Amino acid sequence: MDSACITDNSTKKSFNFGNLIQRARHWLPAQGPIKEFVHHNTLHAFQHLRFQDASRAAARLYGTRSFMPGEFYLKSYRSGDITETALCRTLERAFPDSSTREKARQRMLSEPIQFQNPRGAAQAGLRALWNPLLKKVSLDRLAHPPLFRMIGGYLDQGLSIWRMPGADRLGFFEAVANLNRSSLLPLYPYSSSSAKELFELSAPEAANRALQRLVGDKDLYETYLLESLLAQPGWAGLVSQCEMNPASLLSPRSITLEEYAAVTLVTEMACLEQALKKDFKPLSALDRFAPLKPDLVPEETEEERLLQVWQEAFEWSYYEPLLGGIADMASRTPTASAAAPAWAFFCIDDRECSFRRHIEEVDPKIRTYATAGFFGLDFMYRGAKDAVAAKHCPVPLTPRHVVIEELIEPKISGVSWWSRRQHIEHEANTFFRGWILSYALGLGSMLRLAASVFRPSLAPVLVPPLSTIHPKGRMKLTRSDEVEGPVGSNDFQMGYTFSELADRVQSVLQSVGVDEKWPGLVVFFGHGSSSVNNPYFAAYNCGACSGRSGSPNARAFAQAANIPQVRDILRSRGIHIPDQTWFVGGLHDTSLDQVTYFDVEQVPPRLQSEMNKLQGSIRAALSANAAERCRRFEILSDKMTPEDALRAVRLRAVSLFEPRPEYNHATNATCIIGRRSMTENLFLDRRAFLNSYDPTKDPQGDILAGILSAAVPVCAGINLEYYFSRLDPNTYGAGSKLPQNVTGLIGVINGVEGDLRTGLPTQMTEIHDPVRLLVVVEQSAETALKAIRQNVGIFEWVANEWVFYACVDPQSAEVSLYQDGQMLRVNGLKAPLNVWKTSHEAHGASRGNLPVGWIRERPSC
Amino acid sequence: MIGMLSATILLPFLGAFVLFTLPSLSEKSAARITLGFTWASSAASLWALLLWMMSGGVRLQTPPLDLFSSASYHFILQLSLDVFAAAFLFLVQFTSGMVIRFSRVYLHREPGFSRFFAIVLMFRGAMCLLTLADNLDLLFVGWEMVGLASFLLIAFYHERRQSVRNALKVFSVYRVADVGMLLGAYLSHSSGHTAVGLLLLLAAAGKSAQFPFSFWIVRAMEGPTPSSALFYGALSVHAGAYLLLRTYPLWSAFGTVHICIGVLGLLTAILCTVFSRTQHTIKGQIGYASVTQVGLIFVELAFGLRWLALIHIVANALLRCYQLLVSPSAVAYLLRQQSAIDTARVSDERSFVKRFLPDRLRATLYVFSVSEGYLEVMIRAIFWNPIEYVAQWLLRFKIPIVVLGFGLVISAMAVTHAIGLILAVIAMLFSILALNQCRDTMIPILWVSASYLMIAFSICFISENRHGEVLYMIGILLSCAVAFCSMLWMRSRKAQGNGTLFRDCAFLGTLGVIGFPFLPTFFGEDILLHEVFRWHPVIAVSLSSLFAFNGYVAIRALAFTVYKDPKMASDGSFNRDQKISTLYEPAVDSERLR
Repeated sequence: MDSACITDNSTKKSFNFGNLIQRARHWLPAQGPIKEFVHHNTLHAFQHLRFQDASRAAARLYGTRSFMPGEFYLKSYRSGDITETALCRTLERAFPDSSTREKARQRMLSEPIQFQNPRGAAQAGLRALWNPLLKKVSLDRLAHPPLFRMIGGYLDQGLSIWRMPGADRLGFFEAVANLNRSSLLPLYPYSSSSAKELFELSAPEAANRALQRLVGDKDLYETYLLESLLAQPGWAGLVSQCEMNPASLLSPRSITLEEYAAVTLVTEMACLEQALKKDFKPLSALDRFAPLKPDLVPEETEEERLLQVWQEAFEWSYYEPLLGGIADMASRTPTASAAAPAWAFFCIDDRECSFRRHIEEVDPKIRTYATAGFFGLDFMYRGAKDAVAAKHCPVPLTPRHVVIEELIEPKISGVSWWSRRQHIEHEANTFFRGWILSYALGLGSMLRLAASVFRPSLAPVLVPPLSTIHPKGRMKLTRSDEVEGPVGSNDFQMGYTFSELADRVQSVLQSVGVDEKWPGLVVFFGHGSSSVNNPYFAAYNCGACSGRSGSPNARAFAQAANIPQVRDILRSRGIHIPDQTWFVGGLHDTSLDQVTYFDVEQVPPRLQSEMNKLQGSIRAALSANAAERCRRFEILSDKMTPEDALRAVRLRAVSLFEPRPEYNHATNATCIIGRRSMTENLFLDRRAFLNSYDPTKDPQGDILAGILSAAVPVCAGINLEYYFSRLDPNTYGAGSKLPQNVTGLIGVINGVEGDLRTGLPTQMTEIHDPVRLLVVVEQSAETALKAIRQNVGIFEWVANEWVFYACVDPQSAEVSLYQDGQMLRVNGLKAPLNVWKTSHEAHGASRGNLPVGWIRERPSC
Repeated sequence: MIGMLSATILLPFLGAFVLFTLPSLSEKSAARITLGFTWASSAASLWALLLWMMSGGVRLQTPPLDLFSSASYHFILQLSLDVFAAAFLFLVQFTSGMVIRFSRVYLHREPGFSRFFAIVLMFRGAMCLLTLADNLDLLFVGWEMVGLASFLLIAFYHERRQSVRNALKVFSVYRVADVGMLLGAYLSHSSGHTAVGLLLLLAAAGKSAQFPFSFWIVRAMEGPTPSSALFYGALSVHAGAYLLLRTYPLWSAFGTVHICIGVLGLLTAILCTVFSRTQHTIKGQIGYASVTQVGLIFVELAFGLRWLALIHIVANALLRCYQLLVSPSAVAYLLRQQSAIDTARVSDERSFVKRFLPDRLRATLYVFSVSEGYLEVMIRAIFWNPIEYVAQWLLRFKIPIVVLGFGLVISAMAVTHAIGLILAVIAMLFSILALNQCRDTMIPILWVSASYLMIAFSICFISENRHGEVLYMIGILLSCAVAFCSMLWMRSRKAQGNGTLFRDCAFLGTLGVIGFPFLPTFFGEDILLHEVFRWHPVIAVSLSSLFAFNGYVAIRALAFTVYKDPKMASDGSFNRDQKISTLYEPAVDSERLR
């Protein structure tokens, strides 16, 4: 169908622009508005290819780096970050023949491999042929500023004072056309007669006509269109995302990529006409070209092959001691576990990895678990002060339930005029108000400026984040009627029924495989992150809660598990939660290293002393955790007590001048799914996503399959976004955060006329080591293989080596790695050597990444 | 007192000098040096202000120090402190101190850390000098340095073409302002005049982004946020208003000047408030909002309300500085405001435009605002297009021109008086050719050298007293040669990227060409101008514009040589063979038959 439409040169009408758009859309970045930053694989478009092939193909399409520079690897080898054994292992795999292997090795070690990155389609493709004709400027420089002005104004979510006329009711093409038509003044470059003519047509028609003028040859339309969009990946990608997910815009816009592409093409045509004075010929008149194939995988050059070996050696230098350590732990004879006074549940987030370790160090009796931070509760949440409900579950899920929070005293104490104007300076941008306010606020700004520099505190810039817990709020979690809502409707249900809640509690408890000996207290910690002056705030929150704070989920879970009716249902299904057990919800603020507990007044008095004890342990763990985090902040002194460290992290989170409130997921490298006994003596340096899972309770691997399908996309998405943003900080990443300028409340740009920046800023990725995620599951090889094959979408990540997948047999402690369709046993793994007494001894004051090591004791096999 | 005032000015320069000469300092020591010099100069200025206040707060002048003098020209170092200078000095010290402290952490780990602070310290020193200078010649020194610091910080991320381009755009406006300043400073020596006021207004309008130059303010927001806050929120943008405030006695007697300042200010205020309304970036909106207020400050000055203007300057500078520093918070804050029940936005519905204007006018107003009043197009049409036409015309008739030129020169030999004029015209044409060649980096420098050579010849015919002029010419030609050779060297070896020495030479040479303060060419420029003025004011105007143009060309060449990123080279030149081989498979006919 498609090809028929395109190659049909005789009838102009049947040309199908929509198909072109659908195909082009695939290659654009998939980043939505910045308010909900969801980590995803930067190269999602190439995920059907093997990783190496994909990064080469992507480098050719986008003009990016696909490896770190050769010097990086050689330096890592010389400093010992790339180990000899890992290099040998990788070389053996890449060059089975020993003589070529030796030659390759010599070349790699003699000098850094030099490799010239290809230039991308947008820089060196068909469309770049205009530039020599334009002489003084490039087409991008002509066409982009007016185009971005239009799309920026159209999509603006409330930053600019005037809204573009018609933005709220017209499509983008129609809105520009309308503006162009009704304005009495010319709108450059759309005011030219030929552009005006095109704006009278429909968007696809106009695009077709513009392409005719620009390209001429129908076979090249798709190539040209793709190049045009790839020359401005930020805006084009955002438009595409907004079209597919209209709910992500607070001020709705009926934007489509088709209309945006049409305006882009008309802009380019009009600019060229004006610059070349109408006498330009279409590109196909210049020469003959073949269409661009975006996913064509270029031949691998010798240099790329060697760099690939380096990259894998770099990865294996981390994987080897890790797998060796896990194997040792698994082969250890398990000791009978004593009854714990409390359990603490966390998100699988890598930032909780060290926090859990510190809690266990402070009080070894406390048992910790981790599971995806939405705790099985997939709802839309509306806080007491919010006007809209927001999604609190992983992105792929579609919630059917709404949970709202109500104030205990429903009468809202009147919001004073002044408190509404805490940020009054934002109102000073107009003429008269600005006149008065600039006098009035001048002195105030002086005080605020001095205060923000010398005494940072949360108060002056406090923006109470959306969808969090109100201190005086009460959650409406349950619904009285047991009737299911109409199936297939889009209506949300208010709250959950008891049995629905029991389902969710059950699934969480079963997936982590809780012990039979219930403690008195079970605390669920969601996590969030406070930061100021930070447009990327959403990227700091919980990925399993769509980039929001996990506090409502933790609170809701605790409430649900405390309801007697829910416990009754659970009991009937074989989960016996004793009556003396109480659940508490909490929030771990990962930047402030601060913990809040919800509904503590409801904790039964008999548990009060245990609660106090737990809180004390957690407080101590927070300081220790802060100290471990502080070693990565070079600007801080390396001689700090845990208390100093806690003060330092709290100060940096509220400092306006601090672009790194925390390092988020930087350095993440592995995801370990198994019992805590498999990792408890390993020092993993905040690099691991930990997911609790008990293989003995899941012989069929169904629970594992469920965990994998939730954990792999989230963790691998985070991992690969960091990977690519670190690899090419200016193209895959968003460059430095310092000069960025917030635009339309939907993204950041450089200056006032640049393209939207996608990916992560260098301030988030600078300490990250580009290492692919290694998923390790505690399970036998057959079951592990079966589990990963269950979900085709998840299996693709593994099969194409976007993530590595290994398993450790709980019985034999054998390690196997997924390779070419099977789990192959990995031999010769060396366990880590370092043994440290405490975490503090392990991290000390060093700044860089630490190798995997033993903590407390080395297990005796 | 004198000691304290000079310490205020000199300490930041000293700090900048240390940082510039020791580029390999660690971040910690660079920060220590920066903060040390910053706090020391703050202490000196506070001490000076305290002394001044205790002595009654009357206008205070330091004894003049004749730094350089020739027959007709004296360069006098003299500072003065009155209430306006004191308030502005405090503003300068406070905001720059805060921003430096702020940036210490903000810029952590950023490549170019010490470069940033060297430039900011230079800016701080220059602003202090500008504030305290008692005469326009000395003020011009600070003025020039502020311009250069602006340029360097806008182009801070020089790997992006866009920021270098915008830095040049801003610098070109600053050069135009400099013409006004140069001529104004000269005329102010001879007599008070309406022309002095108007020339100073030109200078002030350029620096403070007033009509018709307003468009540059938003394009300058390319550097790290704190530098934007300091330059375009707080100080640089108010320097023009301060100039008018400080020179009030020079122009207050002339009604025309008052009217011009008032009209210009009001026009700017009205236009910029319209422009700011459709800016969809936070920094752009604040930029235009700030210029709106500066326009109002001009109006206040026109009415002679100097106190009100002073308060307005201080208040607006502080407000905008703070606003820009917290601008990354806008997403969180405004989104929250929109989605919270008690603060949902209503302003749009209330707006006057939406309620009272018919759709057609609303669209027109929107287009006018989005197009930023066509100011840039207008400037292009008035200034750049003629240059382009002249240059193209010159290039087309290359040979006849040369013949004609020589014919004129020879024929003019007879009439010695005209030859100077003719040579000056030729110099101007060369300068125009240099301006036009914006893609190439080397040839324009040659044109610039040629134009200076012509000026040298021309001077030989005009002036009787030639020593200073000849020296100046040697200096500037030497600068051109140094700049040219080191840029050539850098271009040929740009792959290695290992030529800091040549980069520094190119930088110094360029500074020489633009007549950077206290380099010999700086005094030379002034002397020359004084000399020429006596002869004919028209020549003086064209000569000073020529200085401005040539300086701009030199900076542009420097920017495109030093800041050239190989990845961006695709902008102009394009290698078709490479494209076919790397990007597309060869054209196959079967492909088309599919």
